[in-house]
Amino acid sequence: MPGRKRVLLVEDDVFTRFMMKEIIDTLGVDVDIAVNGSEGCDQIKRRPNDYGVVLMDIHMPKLSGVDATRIIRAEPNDPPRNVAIIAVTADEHYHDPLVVSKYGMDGYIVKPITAGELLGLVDQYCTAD
Amino acid sequence: MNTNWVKRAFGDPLGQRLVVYSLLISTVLSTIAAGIQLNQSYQRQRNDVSAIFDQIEEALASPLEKALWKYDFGQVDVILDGIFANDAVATLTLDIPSGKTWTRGDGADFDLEKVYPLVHNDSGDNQIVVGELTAFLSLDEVNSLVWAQFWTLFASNLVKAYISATLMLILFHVLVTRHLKAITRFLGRADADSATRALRLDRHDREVLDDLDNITAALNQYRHGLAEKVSDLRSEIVVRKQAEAEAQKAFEVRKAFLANMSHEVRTPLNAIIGLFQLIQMSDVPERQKKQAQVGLNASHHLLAELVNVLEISRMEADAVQINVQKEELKPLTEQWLQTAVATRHRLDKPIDVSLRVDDDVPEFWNLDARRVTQIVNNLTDNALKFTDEGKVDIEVSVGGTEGRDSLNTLDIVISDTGRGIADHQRDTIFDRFIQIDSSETRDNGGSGLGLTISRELAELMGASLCINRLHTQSCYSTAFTLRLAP
Repeated sequence: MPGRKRVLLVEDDVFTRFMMKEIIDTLGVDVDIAVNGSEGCDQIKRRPNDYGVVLMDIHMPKLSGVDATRIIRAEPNDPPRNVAIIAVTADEHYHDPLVVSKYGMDGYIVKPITAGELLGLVDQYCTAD
Repeated sequence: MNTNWVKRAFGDPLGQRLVVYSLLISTVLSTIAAGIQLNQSYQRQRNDVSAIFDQIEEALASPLEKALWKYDFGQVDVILDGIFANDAVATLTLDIPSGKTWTRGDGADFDLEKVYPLVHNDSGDNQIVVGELTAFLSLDEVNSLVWAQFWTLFASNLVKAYISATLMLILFHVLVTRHLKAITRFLGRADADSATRALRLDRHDREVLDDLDNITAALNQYRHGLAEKVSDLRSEIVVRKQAEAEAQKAFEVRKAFLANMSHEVRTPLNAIIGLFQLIQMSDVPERQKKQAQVGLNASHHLLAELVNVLEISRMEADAVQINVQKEELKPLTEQWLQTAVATRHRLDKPIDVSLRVDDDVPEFWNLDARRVTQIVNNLTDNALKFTDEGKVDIEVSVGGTEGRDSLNTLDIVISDTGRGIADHQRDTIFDRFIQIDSSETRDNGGSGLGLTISRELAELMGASLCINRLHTQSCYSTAFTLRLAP
């Protein structure tokens, strides 16, 4: 469906990546993949206006989700937050709206992800308009 | 000779005792020696005095008798004066038959007495008594002489004893005491520092070794052994510390490994679970959905078991941390109920799950919400697993002594109407890897770690977890109480 926003999935684990992509695919939403934080940043830079939501793993090699978010939020064309960033993590430290907003993120979903939760989220950010 | 040195010699109690004993002994010995000497001298002089009687008899008796015979009284006086001139003669008395008496001296204080009959032999061999001379001899002279001798002897012996004692003391100090002191100083210094030099006394080497040499040699040997032991101990401490550091490092590595392992296990399993869920939600034939459901159940089961095994390992590695915080109880208890309801739903059994919170339970309690929830979920899971129909209830109440608010506890009781636990099995259910019956193991899977983990977690939190004794009339068959400290 043209005009729909894409999803950027930043996740280092190949199984989790595949599983999440498969789930999002059921909605017919396009998914771009980045395997770590720095690839995620590059992807955003390449298509700054195409993404409705970034699903950001926190613990990743090379560049963590927190650092990647800081870089994305520091881009000149980013403010006022034209892309939503959602933390996807099992780390309980980030299961708190106040904590994730402090790191420049818009929300969190808890790993293990349930299909319903993920679909609701993608639906909210990418297909509403 | 250095006076300081002498002072030191006298200041030594050992030397002082030595002097006192040697003075006592030499005093006694010299007294005996002087006594013997004086006695001999007294006897000799007494004999000398007694010899005066013989002299008187030999030298003077005959002229006196002749003078008396001739009535030459002038001559008698001269002779008596001559005899009396001897100092030893105290008194002289001469009686003649006519009744006349001569006396020299006062007649007192005499010690020896001798009577001489004066007999005149005339030409016809007739013996005519012409008088009787009595001589009294005094030993005063002798006695005073002997006393004077005694005092001289005594004084000289005393002086000799004192001088020799002093010299002995100094010698004793030089030969023994100062070395003993050196040994004492050495011992006082040597205990702390194994590097102290060997003991060497300030004396000449001799071919024949005495006790001081032996002590020195023994001490040096002892010190050497001690130094070796200390250095052994020190190197052992270093080795032990290294081992300890390595053990600590291994411990930290193990902790990190377990934390990482948990993540490594969960991540792919979660992917599997997500994919099974996706298949279930997809537009696929019913048969595939059922297959996906079984895959999902198996994955959940595997995840739960792996989490338990890792949890036990984390407890063994002391890697479990307890975070006690003030928590609102209402949402927490609701969450417990929801989890139990979800499990019941998954197991699809005709069981009523209910939650009852007493009115006097406070709004907040200090607890580690995650750990308490883990235990409660464990207990409700177990209750649902071993109950086929009836009910599983969660009850929250305030326990402990009434009227003493500060000592009250929070009691969380999970009861069920399942198959129950026989009395003889009550003790073993908290043991590791134990399921109460091997036949039940076939019906109900599980590694048997749930209750072990729950109890160990409870103990880590300072709480207690136990199985209740139920009345025979009770509608429940099994009940566990988790009692949280105030």
